[in-house]
Amino acid sequence: MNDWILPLLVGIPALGALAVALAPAKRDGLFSLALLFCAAEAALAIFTFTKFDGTNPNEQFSFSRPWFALPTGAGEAVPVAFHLGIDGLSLLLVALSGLLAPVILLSAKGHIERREREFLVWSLVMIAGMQGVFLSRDLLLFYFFWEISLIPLYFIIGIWGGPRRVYATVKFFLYTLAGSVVMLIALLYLAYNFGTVAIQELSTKDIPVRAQLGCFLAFALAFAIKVPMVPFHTWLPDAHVEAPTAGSIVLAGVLLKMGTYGFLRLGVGMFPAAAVQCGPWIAGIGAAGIIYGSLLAYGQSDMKKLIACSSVAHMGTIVVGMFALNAAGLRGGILQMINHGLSTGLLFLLVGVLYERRHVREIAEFGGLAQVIPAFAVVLTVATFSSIGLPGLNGFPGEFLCLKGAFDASPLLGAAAAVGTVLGAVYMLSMLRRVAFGPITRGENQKLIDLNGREWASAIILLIPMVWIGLQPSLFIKPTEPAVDLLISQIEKGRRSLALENGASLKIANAGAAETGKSGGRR
Amino acid sequence: MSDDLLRFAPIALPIAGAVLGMLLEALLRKPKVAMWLTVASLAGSIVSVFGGATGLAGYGSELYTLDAAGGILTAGASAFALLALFLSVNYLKPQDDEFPGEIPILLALVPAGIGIIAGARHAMMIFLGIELLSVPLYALVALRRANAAAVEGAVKYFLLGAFAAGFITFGMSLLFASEHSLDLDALRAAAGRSPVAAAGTALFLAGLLFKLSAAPFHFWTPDAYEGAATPVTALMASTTKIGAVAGLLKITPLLPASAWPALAAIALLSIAAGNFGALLQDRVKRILAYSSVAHAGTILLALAAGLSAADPALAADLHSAASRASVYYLIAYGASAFGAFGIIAILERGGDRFRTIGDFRGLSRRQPAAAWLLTFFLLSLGGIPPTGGFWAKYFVFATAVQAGQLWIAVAGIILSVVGVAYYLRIVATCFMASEDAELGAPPQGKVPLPALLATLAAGVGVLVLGFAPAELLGLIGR
Repeated sequence: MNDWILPLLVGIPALGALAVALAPAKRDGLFSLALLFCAAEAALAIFTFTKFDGTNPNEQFSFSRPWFALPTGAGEAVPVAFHLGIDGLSLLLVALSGLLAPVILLSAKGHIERREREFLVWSLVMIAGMQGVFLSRDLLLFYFFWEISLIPLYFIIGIWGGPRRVYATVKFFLYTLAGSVVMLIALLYLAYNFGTVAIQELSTKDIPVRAQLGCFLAFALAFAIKVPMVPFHTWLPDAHVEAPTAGSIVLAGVLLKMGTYGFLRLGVGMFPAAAVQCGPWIAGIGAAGIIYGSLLAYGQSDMKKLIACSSVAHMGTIVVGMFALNAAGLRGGILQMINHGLSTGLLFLLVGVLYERRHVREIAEFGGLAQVIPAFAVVLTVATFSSIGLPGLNGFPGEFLCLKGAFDASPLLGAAAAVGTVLGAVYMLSMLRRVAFGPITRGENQKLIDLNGREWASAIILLIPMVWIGLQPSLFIKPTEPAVDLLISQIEKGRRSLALENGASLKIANAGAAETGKSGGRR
Repeated sequence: MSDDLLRFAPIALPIAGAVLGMLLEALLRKPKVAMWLTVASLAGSIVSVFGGATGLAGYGSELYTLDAAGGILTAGASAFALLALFLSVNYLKPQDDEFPGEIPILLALVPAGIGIIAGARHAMMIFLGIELLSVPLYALVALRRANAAAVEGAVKYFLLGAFAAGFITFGMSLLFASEHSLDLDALRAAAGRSPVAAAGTALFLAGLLFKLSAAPFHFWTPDAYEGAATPVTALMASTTKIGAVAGLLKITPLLPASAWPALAAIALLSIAAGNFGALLQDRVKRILAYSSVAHAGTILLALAAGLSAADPALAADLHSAASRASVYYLIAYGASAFGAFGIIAILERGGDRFRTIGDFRGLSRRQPAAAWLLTFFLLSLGGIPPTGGFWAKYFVFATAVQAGQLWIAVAGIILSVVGVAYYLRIVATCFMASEDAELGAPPQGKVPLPALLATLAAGVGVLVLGFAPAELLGLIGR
């Protein structure tokens, strides 16, 4: 029975897309139908979370069926399986994707006023694709879902986006596609040289350090563009600004995490020696991203662009935590992925709420909103606090662990990341102050209507886990720990093979020196 | 004896159908008869391939034996010709269609020519097949005699095609002068043996690359594709490459392994020329014509990889991997390109609409089904899952990686991403035009049912190839 949970997690939204595409219903009926599927998806995701055995480091609820065989030169074929599984690394992300599904639809209902059917279909396909990415345990299947998940967002931004939507969406699509095709070549290299594309099996192979490095860099390019890491981040602000609210929520909430998750599962998991070798560089780029993103965010006058740039900074924090390559950093990175999804998702939702009412997003257009729409201001304040990592909310444990990991790895790295965190507080609080507090500067804002039932519902779906993670972080960190420990042992293996490699090359160098010495002597 | 008949059935049936059709057309003047004869003979050809016509030895087998991959190519070409026939029903306006019986007759000969190439064991057979494939196409392109573009395209196609035929025959004569045989087994690795044979092989290859429309032999392609009536374009896009690659699969073993960089260079050049050329076009048929040049390059990547091993055991393995990948690519690409041109044919309905990309503006609002299907085919051409085009690209690049050509594969795949840019441009025009933008021309008249069915069949093919790549791969065999 349990092995059907994961196919259902992918299948429910996929079936939902089919049902919505074919249903004879009109606007409201379609929304309800899609919402039904999303609610089922969310319920199943929560069910998976509660059923998950948090003491088991390995994948659970496995579902594996042979798909096809890729023939090789050596005569035997590389089996490709439709293999889904969940473990501590993906658990929280799967739960988050499921939870966000209804939020996406609820937020969309206010501003998607044309071509609803198409929108709902693409949203559901998007959710199915993302779950597929997080659940795939076969490299080829992972790539398959990874590419599929590009298409829905291409349409969501391109059809329902702002004035420069076509530019933004084509840039997004081509940028990410260019990154991922190089990953495909690395994937093929692995298939032919190691005879398998099963992620688990590849993790246990002793891949030579040089090959690890090449493959790691090919995968890292795809992930760095997706995260996005500086200097590959330029597509993100464009995409966010042009995307409709629902698109921004998906993008910030889950899609970017495909990059960081890929780094963990594939980058560190399969090529630990290369990860150890490149780790400091990547963490350094991440730290640069924190500071650069924060400065960018501080300079923005458009709320949506500000949050988009803050995403660059926050994703930098996650990368720094992960590539500290120690237990604290990895745990923090995993938790922070969820936190960023929740808080940034909520922030985009709130910007969307304002945009639906005023059709502007400039910070200067608002001010003193707390007096007119107090409930909105409260939620915005909570979201801001969560984003800057105030204790008691979800941002705190995640950011703390990331910073601790960074400090353990290198005080310099930790210091850079900490500076970024302080900058984060500066621009977020200044936005909050200018939008929600002070005098009401614009007459139009006098008549704003506060959050309605639908908006409350989607906000509460996000607020509950935000508070819960803040108050009881161990509940969410514990199930990831065995998987993180497994990853740590993998990293240790990487360190050893790297040391061995260095030792060997040292030996070869010594032998070479001896050889030269001998021949010199002979001469 | 019965085995001998079965052996030739995949090529004999369409030829017999065409000859009989010509006779009956002359006597009865009933185009329906020729049409149904063609349908029956092409269906018979497909059935005979799957009914055991492949791999049989017997009378004449030193000239013609169809292997499993060749069988798939023959059956695929017959299927595409059949679909093109359905697509052409009611397409031409009466004044363009003075001899309605000609189309099915000419159509039937195209897959027969491909079948001859696919089973050829003698260089002369390849030449015969190429001519049998090309001559009907020259006529089909020129079908709309009143249309200047059609005549221009046909003349260009014919003249350059004549050059290619000249190359091939000259190459054959050089090969014969050097090797005293045109048997393909005897010619194996001939190009390495003498400069004359090398020149002959190179000329032969150049002729085939012309038919494949690989760069720098591709200049006829946009004109011929644009000038031809769209159902004919669909036929050309889906089948001519099958014929050319079937020939290349027979001729590349003549080359020494050290020739692979030349093929790889032509492959990369084609991908670049096709994709960058397409970026500059505004007319959709020309865009797809240039894209076909890029796809030709992608197939050549597989062939170059298949050639690259000097060690005989590995070479056999790589060659079979390359032939598998290229056959898969041909079928998947053929179905996708056929589908895309099919949609355009349905939208045009014989008129002069839907030429430039602007005519597609806001198509999703006027004809959502057409816009969706077109998008699906374009995504497949771009190699995005879950389509057959994805696996096609995948298998080609897999072959290159298997051959150890990592950097060639990386260059090829990055150049391929350029292609996605213009596919997305069409998709964006269909779907993302703003509400108040001026829409393109509205379609007129009813959608012809046979054309719709043909296009849908191509769509089902692309979808099945996308989700179950193993099935076709299994049929192609080792």
